[in-house]
Amino acid sequence: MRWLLASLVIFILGIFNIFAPIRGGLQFVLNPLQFGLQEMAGGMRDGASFYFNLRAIHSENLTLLERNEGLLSELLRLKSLEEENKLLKDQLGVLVTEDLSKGLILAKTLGNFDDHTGTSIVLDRGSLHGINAGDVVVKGQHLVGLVRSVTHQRSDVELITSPTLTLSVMDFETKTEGLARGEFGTSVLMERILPGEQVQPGNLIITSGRDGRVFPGYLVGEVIDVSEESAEVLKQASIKVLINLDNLGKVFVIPNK
Amino acid sequence: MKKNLTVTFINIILVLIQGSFLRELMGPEIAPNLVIAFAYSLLFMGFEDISLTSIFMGGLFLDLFGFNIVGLSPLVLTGSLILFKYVKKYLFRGWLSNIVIVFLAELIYSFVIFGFSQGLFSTWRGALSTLIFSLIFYMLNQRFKNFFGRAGYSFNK
Repeated sequence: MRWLLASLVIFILGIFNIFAPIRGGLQFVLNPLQFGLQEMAGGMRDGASFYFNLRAIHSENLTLLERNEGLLSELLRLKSLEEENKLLKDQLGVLVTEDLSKGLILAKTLGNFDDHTGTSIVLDRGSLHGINAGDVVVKGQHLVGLVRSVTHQRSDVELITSPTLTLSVMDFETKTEGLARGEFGTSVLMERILPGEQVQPGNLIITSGRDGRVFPGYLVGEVIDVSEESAEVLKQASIKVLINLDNLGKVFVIPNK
Repeated sequence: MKKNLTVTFINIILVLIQGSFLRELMGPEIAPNLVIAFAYSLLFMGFEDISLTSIFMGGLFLDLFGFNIVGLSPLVLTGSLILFKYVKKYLFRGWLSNIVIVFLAELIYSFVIFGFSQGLFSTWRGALSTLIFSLIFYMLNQRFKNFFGRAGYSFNK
């Protein structure tokens, strides 16, 4: 019974966040060990997966080589467009927009043990590093999620595949707007698409910035299926997330200043 | 005191492993709760006091490493362990009841701490792996006890 009473006392004190310094200190000391253990497990899993899937990897490699050839020619075309674009900007005297990469916070990711669904992760950076709830987490141009809560040394991030996270998105090609909501796992559902709007499988979906939570232009995923049921007034599209959210490694946090 | 310190140290290791290594290796759905598994393995061996100390310490470290209110996990885990201790003592005995108890302990913890949003399917797989790890800990603890018992050490329950 003494342990139960002790738990109750600690819980009451915990409500007032009295243990924040202890929590911060403990996480600071043991963060490297825990993140190191995770990296070790990730390496073991990847190694095992490589040997179990050698045949699939071989065929995938051939497909990628073919795709690479196509992408190289595309890259060449884009480079020439970039040069042309730069030349035009210089000609017109347009100022280059502010570099958003300044002020980003680099963080390592760890799976969230409190979550059996895999829709959230933990970062090894917290409020002491300038992270706040609501900050945007990205990897390259890919949107990873939003910071849900922070302690001194860690942040809890809700991934874009979480069903409780809703974001304003749009089709990169057709500019059709909608709302993206996560589905458990790796996919996202784009909802509230008007019947007349065009969304095709293969199109890329990016954040529109209309919700005021995420900057526009971050990649959410690729459309894999569009529901065309006549009974439904508004259409919805299934979006495949293009980054592996189970194995993110390091990510960047964009602080909301 | 030595016993409590040992149990505390073991629980720090368990929390570190379950939150990083095992979760990464096994996936979030079937990652076991080693704190529950270890404490209940001690309970089934008859070490009631140590199992309570263990689950209290383990719960405390789970909260300190996570985002819950500190004290919530030990409260739920200690409460459920005391409840199941009396269930075992006065209502059901035997191995089948032990299996059901570990399973229920993990389900109760998951539902109280994380709510029903995670779904029963995700939670029962975690409970199943916790049960398996509890049996593994039970066997390891028995071997450990026998080994040191033969060397002349005594274990007070």
